Amino acid sequence: MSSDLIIQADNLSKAYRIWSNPAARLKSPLIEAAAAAFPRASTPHRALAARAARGYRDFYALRDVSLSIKRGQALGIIGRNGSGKSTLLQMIAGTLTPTTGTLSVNGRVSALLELGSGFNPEFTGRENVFINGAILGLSRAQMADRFAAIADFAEIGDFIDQPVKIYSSGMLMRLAFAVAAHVDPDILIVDEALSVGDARFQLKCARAIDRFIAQGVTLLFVSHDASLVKRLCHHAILLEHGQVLYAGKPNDVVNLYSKLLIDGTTVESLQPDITALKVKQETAPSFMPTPRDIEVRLEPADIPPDAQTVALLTDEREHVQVSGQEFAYGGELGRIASVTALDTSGQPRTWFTTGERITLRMVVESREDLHEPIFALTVKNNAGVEIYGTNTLFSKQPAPPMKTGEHREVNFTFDLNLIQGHYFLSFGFTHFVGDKLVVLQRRYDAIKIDVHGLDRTFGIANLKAAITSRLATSAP
Amino acid sequence: MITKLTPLLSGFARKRELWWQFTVRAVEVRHRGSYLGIIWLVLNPLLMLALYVTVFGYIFGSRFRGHENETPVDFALAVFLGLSLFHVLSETISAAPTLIVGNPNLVKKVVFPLELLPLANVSAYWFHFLINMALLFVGSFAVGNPVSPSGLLWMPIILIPHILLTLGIGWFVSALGVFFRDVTQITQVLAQIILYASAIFYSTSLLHGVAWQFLKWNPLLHTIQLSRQALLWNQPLNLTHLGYTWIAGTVTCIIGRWFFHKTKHAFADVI
Repeated sequence: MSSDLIIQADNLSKAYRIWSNPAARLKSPLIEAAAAAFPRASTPHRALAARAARGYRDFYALRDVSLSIKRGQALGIIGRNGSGKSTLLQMIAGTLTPTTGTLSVNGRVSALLELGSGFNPEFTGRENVFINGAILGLSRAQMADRFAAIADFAEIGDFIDQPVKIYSSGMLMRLAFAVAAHVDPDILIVDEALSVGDARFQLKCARAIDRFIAQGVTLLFVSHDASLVKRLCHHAILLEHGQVLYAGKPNDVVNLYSKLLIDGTTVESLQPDITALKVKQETAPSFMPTPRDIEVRLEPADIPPDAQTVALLTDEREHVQVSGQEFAYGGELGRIASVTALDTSGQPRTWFTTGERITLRMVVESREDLHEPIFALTVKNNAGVEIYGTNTLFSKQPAPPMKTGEHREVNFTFDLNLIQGHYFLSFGFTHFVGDKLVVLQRRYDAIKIDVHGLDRTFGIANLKAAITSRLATSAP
Repeated sequence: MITKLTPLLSGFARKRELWWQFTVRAVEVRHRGSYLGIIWLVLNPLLMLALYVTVFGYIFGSRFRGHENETPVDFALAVFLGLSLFHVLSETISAAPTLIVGNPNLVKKVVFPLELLPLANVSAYWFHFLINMALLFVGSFAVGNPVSPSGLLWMPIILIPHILLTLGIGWFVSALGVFFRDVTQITQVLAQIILYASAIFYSTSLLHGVAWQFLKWNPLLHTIQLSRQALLWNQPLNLTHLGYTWIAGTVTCIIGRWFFHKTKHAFADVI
């Protein structure tokens, strides 16, 4: 094993025995031990084993998860509630022991698993800071050295000498984050922590996290906030039912997750998408700047690529300008047949200069009657930040109904007021059935375009400021 | 800025640090928020002592006949010594069942050496005991019948088994309390039983026949009797009884520690 690997997990599983009552937790193992005293085939052995088994049933919160994380990587962990995120983090933090599999963690883990975990409500913020430090292995003197910095970071003022029980959840989190940020962790685990606190503190935390990453601290980040995961993490995994459904770039994982959230989506129905993403991972080398690579092995969920999917994907690559990053789903009831980026002269192009007029054309095909089809566009930059998103509904430019089998050309035309960089364009074709949004097809990151700058203006948007100056005639 | 690579405290130093902080906390928490604060540490046992002197010494007029010319105050001091020893045990027993359950954060959210929780609590009770002892010394000097210096030398040998006993019981009951919430109900009754079974308000010389056959197995009874004999009465010590308290204390401590260690990993599953 390379010393570079800070976390290495092999076939990690956590089975929760759901005990019929707390006493069974103690009795069943004792009965099992008693059963072991008899020969395996004997009647008392079987009777006792059966009696022991009545005390519990097993529930797998995590099953056969393997991953290795290198020092200094930021890994996002995404999944629905109950998908095993917290279990995985708690095992890495060391508060839960794996049922099977091995886990090695080489470094000090500072975990923000829940609001003010490890804080004692009766004691003051100051006392809790020292106790927390001691729990994490720092002496009183070491904590005294940092106390001022911690209090300063937490920004809770005189409340530091008040019992923690009177703190608001925001104050509690601020103090908890401040402590976690000042104990020199090798691994920082942040679980939904940044969702509390005002925007300014969130930014402060995000900056602290950036600084950690720059310093080589390994970050494990759990959030439902897709944009934050995309911004902070180099890599992400999607957990579902305790298994790693997919591991890859945060953008892909977030896209997959957003599909998983749609009603009625099952793991099975996602398999083609996962297969497609995996094929893409293998065939198209990434051109997105990934600062540090991560290896996430996917032994258990490995499925041989479906031949049809591969064919379809290859077919589309040949005919359509694709970004090499595309991720699509839907397509049964309606299809986005093609997507193209065009310049003012109607020529397909993938590079533009800033401010140039661009037309994004998608040709859709409906396979049923659509009362009010919705056409959508999203522009993202290479950090996954959504720059712009619109659709016919939001922009109040409703599209006329479509008949079965009808093809339609949809054009999004606008001035490309973006700073130089790479941008990814996603397209959507949806409609409403009653109140329910039905996705006919979505094609995430279907086109990649490069925007060239004309000067050294920076940021995200090119607002094209006219800068004038003249002699001020009167004194200010 | 954050300085990198702070040397981690070694396992033992870290535990000592935590033990100290949690012990201080356990001592403080009782008086936290009260007006007189830390004064209660002394005032509480002082009021208790005054009560015993009044009730047992003057109203009931009971005597242990530990030595000639036993005054009501002498009797009260002996009761006080016995009760102080009893309180270490009774407080351990009554606090232990909820000790782990009451700190779910330390069980589930952080990596914490949980065996320190009972240890710190028991340490705090022994700290209270030390304060009581200081009062006892002052009291015994005040009535002109000071504690015996040679008896004082015996005290560690008499008390260590009781320390081991309280630790073992602390570990055992706190671990048991995680799995059986009923333990809380039992411990209150148990504390009452121990109170009357430990010869606190009477002398062991009163015990005969069947009662003695049962109660002689109570190590606390012997610890109380031995410490009175050593400190207050200047009597020769029964070394058999002393040896028995050592065996009982050591065995209890080992069993308690072993049980805690064996069940510790399962705490997070049921809390």
